[in-house]
Amino acid sequence: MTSTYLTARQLAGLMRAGEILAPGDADLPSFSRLGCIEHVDRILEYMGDKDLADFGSLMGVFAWLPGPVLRSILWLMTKNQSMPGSLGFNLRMLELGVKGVVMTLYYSGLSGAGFQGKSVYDIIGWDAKICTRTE
Amino acid sequence: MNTGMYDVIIVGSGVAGSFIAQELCKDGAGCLMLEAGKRFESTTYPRNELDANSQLYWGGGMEVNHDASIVFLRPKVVGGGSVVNQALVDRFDDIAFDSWRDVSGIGFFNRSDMAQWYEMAESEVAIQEIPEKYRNRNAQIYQSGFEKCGYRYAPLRRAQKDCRYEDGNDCIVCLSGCPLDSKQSMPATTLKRALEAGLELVADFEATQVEAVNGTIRVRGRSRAGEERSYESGRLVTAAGAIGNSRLLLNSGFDKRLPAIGRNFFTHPQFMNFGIFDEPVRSHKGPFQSLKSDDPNFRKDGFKLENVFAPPIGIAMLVPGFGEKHQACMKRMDHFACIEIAVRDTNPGRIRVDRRGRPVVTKSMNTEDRARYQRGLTAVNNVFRAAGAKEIINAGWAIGLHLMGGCCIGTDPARSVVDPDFRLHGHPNIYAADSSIFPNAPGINPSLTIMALAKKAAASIRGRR
Repeated sequence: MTSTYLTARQLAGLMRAGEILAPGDADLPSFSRLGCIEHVDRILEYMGDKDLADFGSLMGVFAWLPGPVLRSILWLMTKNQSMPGSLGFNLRMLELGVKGVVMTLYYSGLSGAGFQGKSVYDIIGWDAKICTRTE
Repeated sequence: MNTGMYDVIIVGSGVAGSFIAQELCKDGAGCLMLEAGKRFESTTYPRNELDANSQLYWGGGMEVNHDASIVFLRPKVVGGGSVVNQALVDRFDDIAFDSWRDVSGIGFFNRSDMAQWYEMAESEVAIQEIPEKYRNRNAQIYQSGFEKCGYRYAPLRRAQKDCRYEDGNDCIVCLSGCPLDSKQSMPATTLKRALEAGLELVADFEATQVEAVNGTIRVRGRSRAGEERSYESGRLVTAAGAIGNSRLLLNSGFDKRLPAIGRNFFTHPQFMNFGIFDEPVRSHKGPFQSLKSDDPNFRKDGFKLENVFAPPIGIAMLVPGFGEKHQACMKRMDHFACIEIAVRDTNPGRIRVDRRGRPVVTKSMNTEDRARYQRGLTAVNNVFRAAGAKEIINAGWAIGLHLMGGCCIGTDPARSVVDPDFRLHGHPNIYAADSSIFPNAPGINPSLTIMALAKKAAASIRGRR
């Protein structure tokens, strides 16, 4: 796949983060198998210029970081709530940016063109609806 | 490009802007409304949560304070907060008004004087309580837990009509715009009437600067495509919310004479909590919010508990951690009941702009605010345990939904921005009348009071009262 906003390397970094944050299990597909990354531009189109540049740079770094290091960074990212100072700020921004984009894609109910299987919505029991008058 | 002269320009199309536009247009004024967000119809609101977050909020719903400890959900759409809110309409009590009167020095902040404006506001939108037979399982758990703990609760008043619960409709869908126009958002009510009365609306246009020269107001800005334009008028109403109004006025240099611009910013920090039950709860079904806490001890202790829920992306962000454990938790999402703590915050924040004119918000919770949160947390955990929850998740993120202050109303130009007639001190042709004028955090959902104040402001602008 291609993106208007991320390079192939940056997309690879996002895919690696996605696999760690949403690895899948017996019921839920993994981030990569779901193929939801194909919809990433629907998020990035509305991101501010600076946020987009920062996010792209980070994903570029994620693409080449050794797996254990990346996993450690992402683990540290979620231990931020009581952390003061610039470290706490950066970890919280990291969680909002990385977990935000990955979870937004994964739990959007969207999947890639080639995905076959039960939808994430079906597995988690999400079926909210409104019947409009024409339905 | 200069695009003409109007009687009044209104910046912002939310509750206040729409109410004022309706009043002024019905009175024959030539009004222009500028809105940074997109215009949708009930049939075109984004239906996917991903698109809704991206397209209906500034920063994709990920704006944060100075240390990224509070996430601001700041609407960016024609209709503003009324499109994405939960349509709760409560009048303020004596506690809120007494506090406002003390801070602002303004006498009309009392229930008696405000009653007429509340009545006028309430006449503009349909208001209902959810019939008991339609309360969902999440509400039943809330009710059961409150009763067992001896806490008081009450039915919520919601601005809605004809939601057709008998058809199986789920109101949580309407958090990204109501497809039925049942929620009484501005595009379905007052804004619609203002447009019928001649209002000109320009969406996807961000006002960036205001100049007041020789009695003429010039508003500059740019479209989403980057086109620079300016509009002129005799009067200006800033109704772009706490951050939007402060940003616009700071970028226009008004703080040189009005040093209080951007100060006294409050958010009612909100924290979601999930009780996990053995049986499915399916909190997203039906009218997803029908009860509120109504306990005088909670009010005294500075918090309230809301019976809410969120769609999957929101829940996934709030469930701590990641990986297999996180996904196992998400698979039980339909077993989650949810109660949110809303803190009546006491520590004022401050809105500034950076070198590029972007808002930077310094806001934190002080010792008292954290104590209020802790008291709310104790009550939530009591309710969930009493109702039979097997596990409780207290999400750590603070969410700022009610963005208030920054252009506070008051009698003292050194400590406030807007005078009792809703005009900027020293600027008789510039008005503000939305949540940005709140002197402090009332601890009550602000929507109805914004409507009432907008009614009063419109009367002031028309000079009829």
